[in-house]
Amino acid sequence: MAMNDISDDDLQEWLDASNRSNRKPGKSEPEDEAVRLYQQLYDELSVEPVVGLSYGFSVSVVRQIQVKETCRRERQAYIWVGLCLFLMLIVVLSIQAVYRVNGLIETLRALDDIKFPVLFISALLSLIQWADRRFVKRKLSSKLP
Amino acid sequence: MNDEEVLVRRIVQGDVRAYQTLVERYQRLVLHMVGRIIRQPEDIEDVCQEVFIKVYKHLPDYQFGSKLSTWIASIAYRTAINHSKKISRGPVSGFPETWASEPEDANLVNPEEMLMHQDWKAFLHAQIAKLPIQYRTILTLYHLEELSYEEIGQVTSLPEGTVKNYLFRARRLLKEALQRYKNSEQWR
Repeated sequence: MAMNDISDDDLQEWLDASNRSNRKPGKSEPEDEAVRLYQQLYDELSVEPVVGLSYGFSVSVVRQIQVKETCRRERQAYIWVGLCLFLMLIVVLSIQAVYRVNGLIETLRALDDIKFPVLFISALLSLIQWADRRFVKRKLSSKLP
Repeated sequence: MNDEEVLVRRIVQGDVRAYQTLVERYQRLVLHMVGRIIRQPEDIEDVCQEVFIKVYKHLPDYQFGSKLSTWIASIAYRTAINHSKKISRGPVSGFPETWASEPEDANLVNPEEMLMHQDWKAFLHAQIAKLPIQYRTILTLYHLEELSYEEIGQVTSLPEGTVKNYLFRARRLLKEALQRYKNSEQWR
């Protein structure tokens, strides 16, 4: 191939084909400045950059995903709990309205009588939940990859 | 069902270990893409992480219409470009808008730069860094990842003809810069 006669684009096409088939221009090819420069360019463009990612990059990505997933699931759970409590209240009020029971005041009175045990149980359950989250789940998640 | 499909299905079913395998398999590709676009080295790893988090999020929507590597590369490309835009709050390349369309008149090299770089490889990499983002991305995908024009088009959302045109222009500009550098070396 007479390198001086061909256009720049043709030369690049030819080098692309040679390089992709792992046949670099050898000594048998005509000595041409453009070919030499292009070959140097092609070689340098195929060299891996020295910059790399930190060791354990994949582990940290997976951990981040796990944390995000846990947060997402917790958010969903809180939404469901809130929704259930709201629905329960609606149902109670609806039942009382349907059966015309003057029980709303009675219910509140009954709740007033048992407010301390209810508050104590609620506080205890919250404390157990907090301890589980603070000491047990955090330890487990730090052991994961 | 090929290996990639099995891997994706395992991930979608919640297998975290399988996702770690996917990250290890494609982190080199993502690093090359992001590294060519982002100018701040300290941001590269964070953007790569962002890419893989997006990949995980959108994996259930992946329909095997293209190669997984092409699909991941397109996410990396868009994420890196968005990050660059956020950082620069302006055009993503350091060149005027007309540069990409009329590069024939453009001259990559200035004489001071030729004196600055003692090594032609360092000089060449400085010239690559000055190219517009699309040019740099296409060079990386073609030469480092050995993707075809069609696959590069899928990643960058450019027509195949444009991909080829940009690739040839970029290489011609770099070759001319290299030629000027080598000529100047002879006179030193």
